[in-house]
Amino acid sequence: MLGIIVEKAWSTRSEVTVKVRLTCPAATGGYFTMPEQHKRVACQIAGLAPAVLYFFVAAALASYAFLWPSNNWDVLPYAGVIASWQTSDADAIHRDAYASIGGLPEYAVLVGTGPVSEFKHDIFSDSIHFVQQLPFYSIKPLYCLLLAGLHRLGFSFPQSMAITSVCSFVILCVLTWFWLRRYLTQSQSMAFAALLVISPPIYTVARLASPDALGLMLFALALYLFLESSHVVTGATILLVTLWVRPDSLILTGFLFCVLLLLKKIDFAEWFTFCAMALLSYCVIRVFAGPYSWSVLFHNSFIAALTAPGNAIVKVTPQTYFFTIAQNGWTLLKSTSLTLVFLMGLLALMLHRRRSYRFMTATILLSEILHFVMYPSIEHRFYTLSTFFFPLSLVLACKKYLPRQGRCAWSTGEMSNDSLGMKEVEAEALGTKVAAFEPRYSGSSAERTTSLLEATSNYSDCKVQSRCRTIRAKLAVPTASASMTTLPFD
Amino acid sequence: MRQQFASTSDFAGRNALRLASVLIYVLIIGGLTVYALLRPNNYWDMLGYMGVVESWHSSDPHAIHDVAYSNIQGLPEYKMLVGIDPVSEYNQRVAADSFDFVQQLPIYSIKPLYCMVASALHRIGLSYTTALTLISVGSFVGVALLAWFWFRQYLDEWWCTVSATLLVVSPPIYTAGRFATPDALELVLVALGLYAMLERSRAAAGGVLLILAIWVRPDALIVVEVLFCTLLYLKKIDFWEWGTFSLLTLFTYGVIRLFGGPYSWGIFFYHAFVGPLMQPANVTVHVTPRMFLLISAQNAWTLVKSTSVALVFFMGVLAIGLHRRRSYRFITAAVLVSEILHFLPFPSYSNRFYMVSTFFVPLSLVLACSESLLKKPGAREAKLQ
Repeated sequence: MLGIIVEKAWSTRSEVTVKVRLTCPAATGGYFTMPEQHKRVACQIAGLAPAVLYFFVAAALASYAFLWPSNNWDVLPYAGVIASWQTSDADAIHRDAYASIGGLPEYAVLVGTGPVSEFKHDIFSDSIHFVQQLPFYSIKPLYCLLLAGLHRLGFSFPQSMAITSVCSFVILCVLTWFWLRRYLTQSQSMAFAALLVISPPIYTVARLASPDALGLMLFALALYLFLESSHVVTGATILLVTLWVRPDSLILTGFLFCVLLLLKKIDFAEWFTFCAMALLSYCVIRVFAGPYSWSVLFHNSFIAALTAPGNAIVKVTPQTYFFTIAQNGWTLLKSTSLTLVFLMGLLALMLHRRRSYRFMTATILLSEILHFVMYPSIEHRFYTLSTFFFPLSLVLACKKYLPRQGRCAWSTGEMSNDSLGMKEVEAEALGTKVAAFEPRYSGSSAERTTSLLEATSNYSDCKVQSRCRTIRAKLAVPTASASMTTLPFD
Repeated sequence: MRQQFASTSDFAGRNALRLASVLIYVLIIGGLTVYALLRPNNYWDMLGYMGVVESWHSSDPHAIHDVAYSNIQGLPEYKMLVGIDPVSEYNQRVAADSFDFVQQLPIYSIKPLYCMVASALHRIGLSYTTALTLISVGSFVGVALLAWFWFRQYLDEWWCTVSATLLVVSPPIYTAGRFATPDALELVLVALGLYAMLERSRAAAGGVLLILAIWVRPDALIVVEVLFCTLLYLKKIDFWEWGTFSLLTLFTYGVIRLFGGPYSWGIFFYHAFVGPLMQPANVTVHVTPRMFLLISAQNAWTLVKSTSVALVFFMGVLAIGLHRRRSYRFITAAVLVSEILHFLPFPSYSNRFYMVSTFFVPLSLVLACSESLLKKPGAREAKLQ
């Protein structure tokens, strides 16, 4: 019995050409003598390896993040906000919050003793100053509610924060896998997904006691629903939920609703309803959480921390504002990987064939810039969405040109100009093209088609094989011919 | 007539747009260069390099020490360099004791070309600090120009401006342009070598530039040797060329080690990654396998979670998958592999040690994607032929 191996396959506008090689079973170690059923099982097990490896890495990262969370100062005010729902006594709130960090290794840092921090030490020693910090944090009601819920279940405040961030990270990892898996092979999905989720701001937020990981996960989920499924209303609802996690996501949410209208994914009435609900959510949060004005937030976050923001009268002059923007913009560019992320975003924008992806990429790019204009933070964690979505969008934009299986990236010659990225093992696509071509040609071409299908059966990818079986059944031509085969193709 | 006028005005308009994009790039790079010149990041290593150059004229530790420290007196980072603010026991001790200071010099004397360029600039009247800054800034300008011309082979001017700007501003590249270290000079030499080989088919010139990079930083031996092997595999150089280059590389490394008189790998490892040694010449250090593995794991983790290296590898994998040109695929892979190999003996988590990949990998990715961003039809075909 002879086998056939595809050596090269390429297409032009008028034809598909496949170069095949005859093989002997003995020479290939009895490759073709393996029973079909065993082959399928082995193939399935081998196919699972990248997924197992990826989820193992994700689980290890999540475990590390849970066991060694990065307890930043924000742990205290979030604990304070939840304590303030039970009592209005400043001392009790202060006591509860600081009691929750008692056993943490970062205790000295959080109370401002090592390294010395005047601000942290002042807040530690003055409960009134501490409660004056809370309105900066109470404007994230859903995050605080989640923490309160977990705290009720018996977890300490830091543990609740770690659980929220880590669970968000795990969901994000799973989502990334399934998103990439729709277009790429298992190995490619594993490589890209692992490198993506481990990159600094994404994994960093999984260890932080902040709502960033939760916000990122919700945004990613909403984008997935918009772009990859028809559950647009669910996605829009998730976007509204995101507002309750971080109200500053109003900018992106508003833009995304407009893009959905532009892409005709929602009609005008839906757009209006979602926008009205977004504005209502924002107003409700602002009315009930009672945050400080934008200028107090700006001064506290980007100029100097205010120990008593409730008593401070702050005026941000245009000069201060522009100076801060320029300084922080420069710091952000030269100290983070944002320029590389933006480069990927621009490439994705230019390369994507899908209009929806192009628009979403552009929207996120624009909204990150606008967000920076309002809140010029130098912290990388505020730019997690672009760091997540741009590389993902670029990979999906390039999916057509990526090899479907292993060896092609290392083939020994320059690829043909006409190959359009189709590699020798791009058998599935080839099979599809053949199926499309077949009804227009008679018997002899069907034989050629079969030789192609036979050739593709040498590859271990189950998906390719199953596709070929379907096409073979459709064509019902069992014979194989092994030769240099050229098929006319429109 | 009207049609001719329209086409002429259209042509003029296009030319004006092209010129505008070039001018914008020149302005950006000019601004960055001026900023780097006016506000260099004066790092402690500059003292070491000044000491090395001064040690060529005098063997008196006090004289070497005095010259080095007198050069940094007017700098805004003076307090930091002498270890007063923030307090650093190591910096204080080395500032106070000239014998401890000269014991640090072999760590820096193994970069002879960098020290020689600094010495030459000092000879023509520049202060040591200015000379060291000028080398880094000049190298940065070289990298910026090279990036633009490299992109220009495939893209139109606007894309060149956008891609090159985003590339050269990214952290380790521009950061190195402000540091008094040989990193920027090494990057420009390696990048020029790759450009000569990949785009100009000048194997000899490229090989010489790569070997020069070893004279700037001997640890470039890893990337250079991996690149030579890849070029042999790609048949860009034949076996004799490969043999000659490899021999020259090893000879260079041997000469530097012989005349630079550096410390052993163990001392260097301990000094760089465990804790700074005040008197590296007087200590006996034993790096145990456990210590090595622990530090490597710890630093690898820090590197991945705090720098752009994961994203660079992401781009690298994508570029390898996308590139039509075999040479780019292999060189991209070789650069990534060499970064991993470099990490094994020198597990640094400082971003500046991974500049070659941060420069070449995004560049390779943009070129891989240039099909869709191509400036003129037929350019790719011409390239491939």
